[in-house]
Amino acid sequence: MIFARIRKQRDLPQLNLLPVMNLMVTLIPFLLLSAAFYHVGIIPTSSTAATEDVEDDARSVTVNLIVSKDRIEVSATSGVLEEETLELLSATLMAEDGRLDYQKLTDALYAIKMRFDLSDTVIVMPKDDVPYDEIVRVLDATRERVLNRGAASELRIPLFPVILMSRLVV
Amino acid sequence: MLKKSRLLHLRPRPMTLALTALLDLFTIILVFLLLCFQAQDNDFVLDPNNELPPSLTSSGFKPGVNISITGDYVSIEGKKVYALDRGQFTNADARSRSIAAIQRAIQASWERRKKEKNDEKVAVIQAHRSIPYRTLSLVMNSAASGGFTRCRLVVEKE
Repeated sequence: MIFARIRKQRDLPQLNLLPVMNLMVTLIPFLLLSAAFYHVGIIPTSSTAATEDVEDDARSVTVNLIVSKDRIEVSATSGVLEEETLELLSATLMAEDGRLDYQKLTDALYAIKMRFDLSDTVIVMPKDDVPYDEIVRVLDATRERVLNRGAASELRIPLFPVILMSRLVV
Repeated sequence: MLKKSRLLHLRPRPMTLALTALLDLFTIILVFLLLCFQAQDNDFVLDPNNELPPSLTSSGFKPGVNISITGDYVSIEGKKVYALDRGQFTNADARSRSIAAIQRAIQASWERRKKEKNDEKVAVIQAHRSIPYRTLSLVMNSAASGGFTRCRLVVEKE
């Protein structure tokens, strides 16, 4: 009885995994060479030298952002709209506990976008000492509003995708 | 006697390696590598001295003339063209509108590149996350003086 069981176990067919292993050993070095362990993206920008004449329209404004370490000043310009109307779009977002609130910036720009739906251009003027890291965060907050971030239903609403970088002349 | 004859039937067979566990491991590695696989050759090399800022951008990488700004130097297509002092230009150059050495290097790089590839005239700028805007702006202005008014800022996708 015991011998019968042992023989049965010994006679079980064994899968020949060697060809699969050979394939794996070939594929893995190839994929290792082609793998990218960091995911690089880009933010398209232009310098103000590339500015084309923007057509004046009552449904669009150009937003200006002056970025410093402790505040972001939002203002708008237009060749058509009255000064009082533009003045209402201005805002100063102060840093809280030394950190700028980028969500507030997105909300402020979203409000402008809702009112002037053809707007797509923002002129960003960071102060000289603002680090690149902060500028990227400001540009992220400026370009689109992300709803349900990370979820399957994530929605990206474009705000001001045309970015002109300028330097503040004091 | 009978038992002995049965035992004789149990002749030793050739040994086989149990590869199942190894195959499981390889399958996991394969799936991971397939997820990291990048089929497109972007002609982009991240400067080892650069730490890119994270970003929520969904725009994928597009090639152009590669400019790298680290804390110690500005390089164009991997060639160092200007030495920086902790991410800053020297006093004399910091006050100027553009840096001639950078402008010349970008133009030379573009002349070479346009013969080999059909790229757009765009500068791809990778900068260390701590670089101040003063430095970034001066490099962008230098590129703009050389006709590169459009730039792509390289970031690490979050």
